[in-house]
Amino acid sequence: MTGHNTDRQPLPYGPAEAALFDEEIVREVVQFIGDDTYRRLLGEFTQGLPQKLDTLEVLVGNPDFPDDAAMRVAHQLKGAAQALGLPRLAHSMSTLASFRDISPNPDAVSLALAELRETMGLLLRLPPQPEPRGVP
Amino acid sequence: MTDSRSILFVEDDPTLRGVISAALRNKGHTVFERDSAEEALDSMERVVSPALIILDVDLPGTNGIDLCKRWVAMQQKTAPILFLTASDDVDTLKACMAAGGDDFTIKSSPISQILERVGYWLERRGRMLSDKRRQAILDQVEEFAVVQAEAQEQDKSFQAMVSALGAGLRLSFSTLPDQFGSTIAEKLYLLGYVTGAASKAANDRLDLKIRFLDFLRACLLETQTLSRSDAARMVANLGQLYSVRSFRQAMSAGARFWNDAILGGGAPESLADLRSRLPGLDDE
Repeated sequence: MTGHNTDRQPLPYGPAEAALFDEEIVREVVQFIGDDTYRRLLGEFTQGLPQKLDTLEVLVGNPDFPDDAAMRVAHQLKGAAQALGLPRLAHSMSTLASFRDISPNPDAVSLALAELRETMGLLLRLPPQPEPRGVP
Repeated sequence: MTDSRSILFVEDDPTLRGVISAALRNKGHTVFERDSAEEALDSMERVVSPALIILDVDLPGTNGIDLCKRWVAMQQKTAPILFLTASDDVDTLKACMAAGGDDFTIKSSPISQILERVGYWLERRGRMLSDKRRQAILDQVEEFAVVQAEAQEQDKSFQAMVSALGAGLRLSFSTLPDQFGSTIAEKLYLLGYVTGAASKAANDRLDLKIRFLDFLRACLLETQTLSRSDAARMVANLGQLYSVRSFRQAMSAGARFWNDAILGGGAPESLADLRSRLPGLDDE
């Protein structure tokens, strides 16, 4: 039972942020989990994103990069971004994950991180989502 | 006693776990969420008797494949295991099945497909794969590995084509100053036009895109009119401007454009002649 009528519900973002989202995926996910749950998960994800990207930047700066720890974070964020229908963020994570196979030059790494920061900035400017569970 | 609608879901990423768990609950399933192999082991020993286990391959600490092996060894694998993997890497898929897994699905699949797989296994009411069927799936995965290896060989050929095209473009670009006496802005515009005409949509082949950007940087440095940092900045801008969806199509289009518009008409006689062959090149 899905039971959620998504036709009349506005998407959880405005026209300015549309490029960040894959509308088809968002509509499908909202159909299965409901608008409120989607918004809550999106809010939790975006709130945790700065800390995760800080971690990722530290890992990318390590001499061992691209190592298992960095790949793990990149793959995890990619999976979460795909689940929420955030292709631009997933794309940036794919770039970082692809560095495991191609020995990137520093410019390529800097470019990927800059793209990532820009995407995160746009996500953080989304309209406020409902408070995550457990927040008083 | 096993609840025919209960699922043990082991996944460490809270977002992905949240999306899939919420969808399963909305379909009437009972979902026990666990974020590590250790928690899952404890649950299976003491609390939960699920009809299906959804298991992330890439768990921190003990990974999903080792957890599955452990359940098999301890004779505690009492339900089918549907592995959830981040990639379709053949070795991972083989390891999932060889460990005793019953099925696998890719995390990036549409949620409807993931739910379909879950529904299939729940309808089997706890019946796991036979050894014969598991071997048949392993054989299919082996066949997939062969196809994938062939595709990688084709990819090498494609990369050789990219290198050849790059060498041709580089040669042409480096001779432009002498031929036309054009300004650096015009040369960059031309280079940007050639690459831009070739890149219309986003790209899953980011590794090749990065190599192409490397090539562009080399082109820019060969003009000897840009510093390394300026060249790097220019390339970064190009990388942001050109969001290439299909690199293969893009490079083919670029090659066609270069050959037809520039070389196919014979060597341009002047900058005006060159401009006339570049539709859409305005005079800013």
